[in-house]
Amino acid sequence: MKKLTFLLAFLISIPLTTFAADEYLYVMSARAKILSSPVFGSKTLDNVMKGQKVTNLEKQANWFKVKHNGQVGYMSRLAVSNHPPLKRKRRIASEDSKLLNNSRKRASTVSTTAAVRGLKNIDRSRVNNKDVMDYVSLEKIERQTVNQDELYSFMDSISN
Amino acid sequence: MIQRPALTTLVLTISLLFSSAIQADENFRSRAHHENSNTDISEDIDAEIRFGKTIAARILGQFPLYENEKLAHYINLVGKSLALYASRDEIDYHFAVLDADFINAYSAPGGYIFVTKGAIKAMRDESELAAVLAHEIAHITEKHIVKEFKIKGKEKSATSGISQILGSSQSSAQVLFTQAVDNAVNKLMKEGFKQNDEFESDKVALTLLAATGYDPKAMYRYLKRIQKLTIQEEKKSGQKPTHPPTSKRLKTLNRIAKNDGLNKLKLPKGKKRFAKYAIK
Repeated sequence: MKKLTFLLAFLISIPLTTFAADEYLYVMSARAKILSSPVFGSKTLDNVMKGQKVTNLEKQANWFKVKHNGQVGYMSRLAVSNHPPLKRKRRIASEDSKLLNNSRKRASTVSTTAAVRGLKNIDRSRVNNKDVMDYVSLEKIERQTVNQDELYSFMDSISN
Repeated sequence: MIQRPALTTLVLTISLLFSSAIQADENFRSRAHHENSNTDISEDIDAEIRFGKTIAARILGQFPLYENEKLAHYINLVGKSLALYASRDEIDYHFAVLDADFINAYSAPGGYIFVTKGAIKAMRDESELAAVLAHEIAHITEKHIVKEFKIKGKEKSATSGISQILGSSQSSAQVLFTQAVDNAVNKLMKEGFKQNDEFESDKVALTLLAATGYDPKAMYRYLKRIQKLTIQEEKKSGQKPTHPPTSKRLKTLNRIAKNDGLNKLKLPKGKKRFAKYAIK
C-alpha cells in the first residue's frame, strides 16, 4: 500500500515539475536589463543581449520574474518573448528598383502637368501631392547610418 | 479503504490524465509558437517593409525632407538608442525631420519615423525628443497599421499578399496595392490611429524611455506644452486632430506613470546636448 502511495505521489510530481521547469523567454531587444525589483531604476543585476534565453519564473503585470546565470531578477515584458528573435531585416534592394520605377512614372506625370501649369522646383514636385512619392529623399534617409560604437557611446552618455 | 486493483486503476487514470494534460499544454505551446512564427515570418516582415516604404515615400511626397545633416544624425542617434530597447530588433529604424512648421510626428510600418520641424521647435530637451520618437516606435512594435490593414507576405486578399502584388504585372494587383497605401496614408495623416492604439503607444513609450535612461515625465511635459498650440493649429488649418484629446492622454499618462512607479524616477533630460541641435 505504501509503495502504491509513493508511486502515486511520484507520478503526480513528474508532470508538475515539467510544467514549471521548461518555460523559457528569449530576449527580443538588442539590449535588456535584469533588475533587482520590478521597478525601473532598481539595481541592474545583469545585462542580457538579443537572443539570450532566460528562465521564466512568474509574470507580474508588466514584468517577468526570471532566472539567469543563477540570479533571480525582473525583466520588462517588452524586452522578452516566448519565441526566439528574428534576424535584422535590411532594405529589399530588388523591390526598391520596382518601387522607384513606379514612382518615376508617377513623378514624370506630375512634372509634366506642373510644367504645363508653369510651376517650378518645389511647387512643381508637390503639385497634386496626394500621389507624389519621393523616393530620392527616402534613399537619403535610408543611407543615413549610425556607427555601432558611436551609438553605444551615445547611449552610455544618456545616463551620465 | 481502497482495494489494490482499484488503487492501481486510480494511479493509471491520474497518470494518463496528466500525460494528456502535458500533451495538451505542449500542443498549445507549439501552436502558440507556430502562430508567433506565422505572424512574424520573414515574408510578413518583407511585406511590412515594402508597404511602409511606399507610405514613407508618400509622406515625403507631401512634406519635404528637412535638409540638416547634423540634426538628421542626432535624431537617428536618439531614435536608434530607443530602438535598441524596443521589442522588434528585426526592424531597421530610420528617423527623419520633415520641413513643416506644424506640430506632428508619423510612423510608417517597417521602421520609418518622421517628426516635423515644428514639433522639434516645441521641444525643450533630448528626453522630449525621445518621448515623441518612442511613441512612434511603439506604433511599429505593436504593429498598429500592420494589424489594421492585415499586411501579410503570402495571401491573396486585397491588402495582403504584398509579395505577389508587387511581383505581379497585372495592373489590378497594382491598383489594390495603391488603394491599400492610400488608405494607410489617409489613416496616418488625416484620421489618426485608433484611440486605444494611441494610448498603448503612450504606455510602451514610457517604458522605452525609462529602459533607455530618459526621463519618462518628458512625454507629459511635451504634451502639456503643445496642448494649446495644436488646438490653435487645428482650428487654423481646419484639420481633424490625428491624436486623442491631449487632456485625456495626460490623464492616462499620469495614471500609468504612477502605477508603474515611473513618476518617481529621476532620469536625465539631456537639455545641454539638445540645445546644440535645437531649431530656432
